[in-house]
Amino acid sequence: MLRVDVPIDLAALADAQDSIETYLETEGAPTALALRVRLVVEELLVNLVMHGRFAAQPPPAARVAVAFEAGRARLTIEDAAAPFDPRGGKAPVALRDIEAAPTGGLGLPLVRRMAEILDYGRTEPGWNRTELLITGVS
Amino acid sequence: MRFDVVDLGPSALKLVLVGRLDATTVGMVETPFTATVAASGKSAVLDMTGLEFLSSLGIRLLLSATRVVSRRGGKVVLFGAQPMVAEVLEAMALGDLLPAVGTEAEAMAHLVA
Repeated sequence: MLRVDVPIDLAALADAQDSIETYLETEGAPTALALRVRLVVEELLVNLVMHGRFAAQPPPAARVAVAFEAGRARLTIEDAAAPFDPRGGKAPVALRDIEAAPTGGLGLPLVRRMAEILDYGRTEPGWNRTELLITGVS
Repeated sequence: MRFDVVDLGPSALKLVLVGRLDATTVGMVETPFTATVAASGKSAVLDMTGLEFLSSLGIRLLLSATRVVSRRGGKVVLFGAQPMVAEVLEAMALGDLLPAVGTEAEAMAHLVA
């Protein structure tokens, strides 16, 4: 298992993603799976940077853990933002009018398509805990 | 992340995307990319063969550029997407707005269809 603390800052994202991708490749995960995990990590952490509401400033780093087991990746993200359950929301709907296309809010629908959100809860005062399972290309 | 521009004649421009288009890199190309398609006044084919990774912020850029081209009466067609990129586009149900085909020839045919 790899554990990495990621500052709530876009500048810190790439290093964390690289560490996670390298870990998965070292463990023998297929490239497609490693890229899926990289994507899910990005979308969730970008969401925290852009929309997370934190009581403390600067916000505490998010705690990210990844384990590759039985051909799948189990991803856990803990953060100190205000409560936010990523399981809600609608699936993407095909759009035909470019003027109606969304200019934001694409990240979480993408997460829900790329990962199974196993659990969400509050584990200690002020912290969210989201657990996801990411499998290979379906 | 970088993009190269190839003039395909009076009605189309090819933009060749290379690298990873994500939260870290989108800021490097967002302004010049959109400005290029806006200034050309042409339709655009996006060569995705060298694009290894696409996240939602990258999709937002592609949609923004498509909106600019569409308002000038043009089209945007993608071709040669790698599996990860194709998977993301499919997952977001964007096939009508960002049609993706296999080859440049198919993309050019799509522009005149």
